[in-house]
Amino acid sequence: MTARDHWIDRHLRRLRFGQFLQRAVEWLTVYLFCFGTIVLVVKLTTPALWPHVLWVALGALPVMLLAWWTSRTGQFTRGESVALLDRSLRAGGLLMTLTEAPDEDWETHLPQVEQRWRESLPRIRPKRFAGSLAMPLLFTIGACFVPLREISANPIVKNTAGQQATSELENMLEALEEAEVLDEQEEQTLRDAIEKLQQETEEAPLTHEKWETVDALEQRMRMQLEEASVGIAQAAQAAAILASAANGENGELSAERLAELEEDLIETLRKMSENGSLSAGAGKMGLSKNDLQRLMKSGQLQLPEDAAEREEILNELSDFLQQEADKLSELRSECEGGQCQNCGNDCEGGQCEACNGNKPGRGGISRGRGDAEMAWGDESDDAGILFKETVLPPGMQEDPKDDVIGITRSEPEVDPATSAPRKAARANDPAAGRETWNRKLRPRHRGAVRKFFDSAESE
Amino acid sequence: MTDTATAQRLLSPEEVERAKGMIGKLVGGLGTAILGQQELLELVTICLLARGHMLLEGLPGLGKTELVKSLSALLGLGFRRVQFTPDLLPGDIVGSPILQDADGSRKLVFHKGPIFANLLLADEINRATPKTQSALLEAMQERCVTVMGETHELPRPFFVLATQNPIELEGTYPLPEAQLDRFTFKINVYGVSSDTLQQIISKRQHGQPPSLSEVLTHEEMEQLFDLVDGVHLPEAVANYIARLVNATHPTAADAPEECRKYVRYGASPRAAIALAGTSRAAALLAGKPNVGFDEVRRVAVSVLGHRLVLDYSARLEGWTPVRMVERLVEAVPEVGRPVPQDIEV
Repeated sequence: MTARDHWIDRHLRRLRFGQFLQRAVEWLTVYLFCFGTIVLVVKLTTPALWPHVLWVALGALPVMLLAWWTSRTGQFTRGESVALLDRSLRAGGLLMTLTEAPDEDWETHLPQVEQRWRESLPRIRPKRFAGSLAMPLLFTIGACFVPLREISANPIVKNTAGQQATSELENMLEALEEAEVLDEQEEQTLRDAIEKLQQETEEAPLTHEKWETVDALEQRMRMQLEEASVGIAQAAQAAAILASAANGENGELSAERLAELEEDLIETLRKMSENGSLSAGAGKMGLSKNDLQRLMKSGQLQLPEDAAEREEILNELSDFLQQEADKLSELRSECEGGQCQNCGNDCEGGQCEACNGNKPGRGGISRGRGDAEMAWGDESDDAGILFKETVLPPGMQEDPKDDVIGITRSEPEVDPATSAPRKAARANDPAAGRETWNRKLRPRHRGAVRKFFDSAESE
Repeated sequence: MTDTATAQRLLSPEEVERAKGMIGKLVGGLGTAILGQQELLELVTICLLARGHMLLEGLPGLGKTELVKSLSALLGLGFRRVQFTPDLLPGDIVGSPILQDADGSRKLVFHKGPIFANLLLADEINRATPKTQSALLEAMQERCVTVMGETHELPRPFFVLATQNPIELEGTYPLPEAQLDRFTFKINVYGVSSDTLQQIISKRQHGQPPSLSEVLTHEEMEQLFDLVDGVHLPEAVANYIARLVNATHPTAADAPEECRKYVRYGASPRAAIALAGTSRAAALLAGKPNVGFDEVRRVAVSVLGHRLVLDYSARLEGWTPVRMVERLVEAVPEVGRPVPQDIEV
């Protein structure tokens, strides 16, 4: 190999290296942008895959191999390299000529100084190479520094509240069916409405109108239950009074009062007969169906003439009705959620024996004393939060009305509709025409307001 | 095999030096007759060494005819001058058969026209009709003429040196493309500088040129032709010539944008042959045994300029064939592969 060939080979190698660098820049740019994008996507969407993504970094090696392979397909030939070197040397084509047709006489006309050959070699410009890769490299490094998204252990459940509400409604309806409180038509109407709500909760969250429907259905069922419970309890009480009257224990009752009690009793029995609960209970009492029909003949209570026999029947009837009333009362408490309204513990009947509405500072207007000390939770911290956030029951009560709306034989029952949270809030809304200053707060809220103003004055 | 062997053998430095000396004497002799036109004289010499025909275009009085006459005097070649006019007939150039008595019988005898010379000066060639102009086609390409079915060889060497005037175009007939393509060179003759004019005025009171003596014999001319053929054309340069000529076509992939837009027809393969031949001559003139890229660029305008047919929009945009060739030379790289950006050659 002559010195000329040596320089030509060096020139050719540099040219091919330049081609490789050019391809490498192109491929690495694409690779780095792709890698950075993958890193970003993994870090922001599936952080669990992050350790595996680091293996993708090894993809740079195949990319470089690919760049080398593709640079070989269009690489410079030796003739082209000689032409470029000839131009750089300003040999006027003599180098090309001597490469094709060697001639010793003309060899001496080529540059003999090694420095000129060296200067004619192409110079590699790493700045351009680095400059081209700077942006994708910064992007990739930046993507690697993006913090991992926190992994949530709890799966996101869509529309849980709506589904839970409709599920509770369905459970309540089933309980009412078992208690045979509802007639067939009412039961079907409620079932259709609940199924429709269930379908809607599967597709989208409930709107506020649908929540109104949920509340309305719940109240409707509670009222049905309450109506049946109160009716049976009154009938049981009437039967007991009638039994006492037959025995002569309550003294002489007026004929009008007796007729009224009998009317209450027979009305309740008629309703129970329509629901089917009476048929099942008659067996327990030792009465046949004919006996019951005879008792309720012509819409009036046909009791035996004999006082002892009448008293026995009425006592059995009273016991039966009282059992039914207890069952419905238990069911009512279950429908309230089974938790004590005062202490929040799970307890039978919806209220603890301990608090049972008689402990000071607990319960509503009908239970406990209003001036009792309130039970407070944890103290507020020093960050300026005066009140620890505690969800309170509705603070306002309905205005007690002085006018007589009716006289009952038993203690008045609280209307569940008025204790519904949203209805209470709506009733006390300024838009409803109620002033704020004369609202009557419940005892628990009164203490909270007092404490607030006391603390404000002390500061 | 012989051609290959000849092509592989480089001219020796002595041969190149001898050729350079002979060419130098010719150019020097022309320089004494035509002052201040060194580039023009060298181009004319290159065209002659490439055995090509030449079309000189320029205004009257620039010395075109004098140049051709000087050339014939320096080379000692047979010289004829034909003043082309509209009534000139083909027979007036190539000759015509005449009925003569010979040995008691009459027969048509061919009388040679002025074309039977080594150097034919076709003065103001564009004033003759296309029919007369086309009489030169066969002579210029085949170096023979055919009259009444009989072919007559022209003397060797044979050159046509034509002149035409770019103005006074009324009553002229532009040369057809086929005729133009046969001219190896079209050289535009421009005026000279004031210094040269002062020199002309001082030395030539009546404008007559100095008497010239023969500087090259016929044999020396033939030797020069052989030496030109012996100049090596490297593959890379041949590739450059091919790409350059190919780029003149608007449909070519390598054609620059201006060429695609303004050129209607590009150069023919004959142009590529002429470019290679004249590049060889230019290399020998420069004292080189081989052609380089510089020689190709030097003769490109003269070879390709009259072979490009531009459309009308080019004229409106101020593009001339010469400017288009210069653009092509600028656009076509010497190596048909882009140099990587990461290296600096």
